[in-house]
Formats: sequence, C-alpha cells, structure tokens
Amino acid sequence: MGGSATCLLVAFVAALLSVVLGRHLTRSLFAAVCAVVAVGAALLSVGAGFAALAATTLLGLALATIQLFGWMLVDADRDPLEPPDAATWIARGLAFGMLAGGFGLLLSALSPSGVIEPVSLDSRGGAAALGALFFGTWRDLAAISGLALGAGLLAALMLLRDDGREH
Amino acid sequence: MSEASFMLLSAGLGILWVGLLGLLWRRSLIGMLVGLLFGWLSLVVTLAGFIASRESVEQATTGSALVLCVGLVCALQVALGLSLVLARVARRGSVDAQDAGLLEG
Repeated sequence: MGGSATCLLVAFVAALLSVVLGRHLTRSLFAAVCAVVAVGAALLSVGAGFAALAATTLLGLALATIQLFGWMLVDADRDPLEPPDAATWIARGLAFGMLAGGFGLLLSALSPSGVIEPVSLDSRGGAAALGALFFGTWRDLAAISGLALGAGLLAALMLLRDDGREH
Repeated sequence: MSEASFMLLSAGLGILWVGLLGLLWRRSLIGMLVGLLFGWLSLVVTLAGFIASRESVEQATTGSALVLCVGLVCALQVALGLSLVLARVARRGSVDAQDAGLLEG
C-alpha cells in the first residue's frame, strides 16, 4: 500500500509540475508522461487489472502524439502568451483554492470514518438508490460540495476573459 | 470503503483538480489539451478505485470495460483536438485559445 501511495503522490506532483511550471512543451509533456507512468505503476500495485493498465498506456500514447505534433507546430515549443497580471493570478488562485476546498470536503466525507458509504445501483432499485444518493442523509454535504465546485468553476471561467495584454 | 479505494479516489480528485487547472489556467491550446488528458486520467484512477471496492467478478469486469472505453475516448479526443490545433495554426499561426474564441464568418 505504501508503494502505491508513493506512486500516486509522485503522479500528482508531476501532473502539477506539468501544468503550472510547464511553459516549455517538452518539459511539460515529460512531466505528464512521468505522471501517467506513476499512475500505471500504482494501478499495477493495487491489482487494478489489465484494462486500467491498457487505459494508461493509451493515455501515454496520446501524450506521445501531442509531443510529436507539437514539434511540428511553429510556436508550440515555448508558450508565447503573456502570463496574467497579479490581480488575475490572485483571483484565479482563490477560485482554485475554493475548488480544492470543495474536493477536500468531499474527501473527508469519503474517508473510512466519513459519512459517505458506497452504494450499489443495481437494475431493480436504480431510481430509489439514486434518490437516496442525492437526497438522502448526506444531501447537505452534497449541496455544499456542488456549490463549492460550481462557484469555483464559474469564477475561473469568468476570470479567463480579458486577461493579459492584447497583441 | 477499503483503504485502496479511498487512496485511488483521493488521487483521482487531486488529478482532476490539476486537469481543471491546466484546462482553465493555460491559454495555449496544447496546454489545454494536456489538462484535458489529466481529466481523463483522473477518471481512469477514480474508476479503478470503484472497481477495487467491488466484490463480484462480474461487476469488476464491467468496470474494467468502462475503464478501457474511457482510455479510448481520451485518445480519440486528443487526436481530434490536435487536428483542430493544427488547422488553427495553419490558418492563424497561433495556439492562443483566446484568439481561437473569436467568431469568424
């Protein structure tokens, strides 16, 4: 279990590096490949099966395709776009911090000592099980998580407009 | 919920957050494609977490088929996105997503 947790941690850090620090295409894609390989290793160690491994292999091939086609593009080797100004950066950071808070709330409820228990939606009681899922005992938590996710996404989408200097 | 399932679900949510970051923060279409790929990767990890909590072989097999479909859809979506990026670069010479949002007659 410790090995798979380490692999997943490495995958998260590599993915974060790929997105946040990867203004150079090759470095960004190298970090992304590291993340996919770490996820594949973690899935192997927890015995997730052939399909999960095949899916991660497909994702790795997709990254290789992006790298191959990225080399063919004129200005993809270095992100030529202006970084956002400080106010936009802070606002986006707050929006994504709020989103991370919503995810953290969800995870705390999903933890073994949390309030959420996995349910099985079989074909006989599907509608009733879905109703219990969304309007059951932890509907308040679901509403809070949904509001946090929606607010974070909406704020981030609105902040995408009119940032930086126009060329 | 088992410890392995919780660990995989946590990682899936974390990678989804990173994918959203890449999709919404970056203005380069290539960077957004990488963010989109992380979104699909998070779906694979989350589904693997749900599969790990299944008890019957039949449920696990169904979930594995779903994981494979997710990987295929991601590969096809990246191919489609790359073709759009190539067409965009050939037409406008830029990978700026904000520029790509302009309407053209």
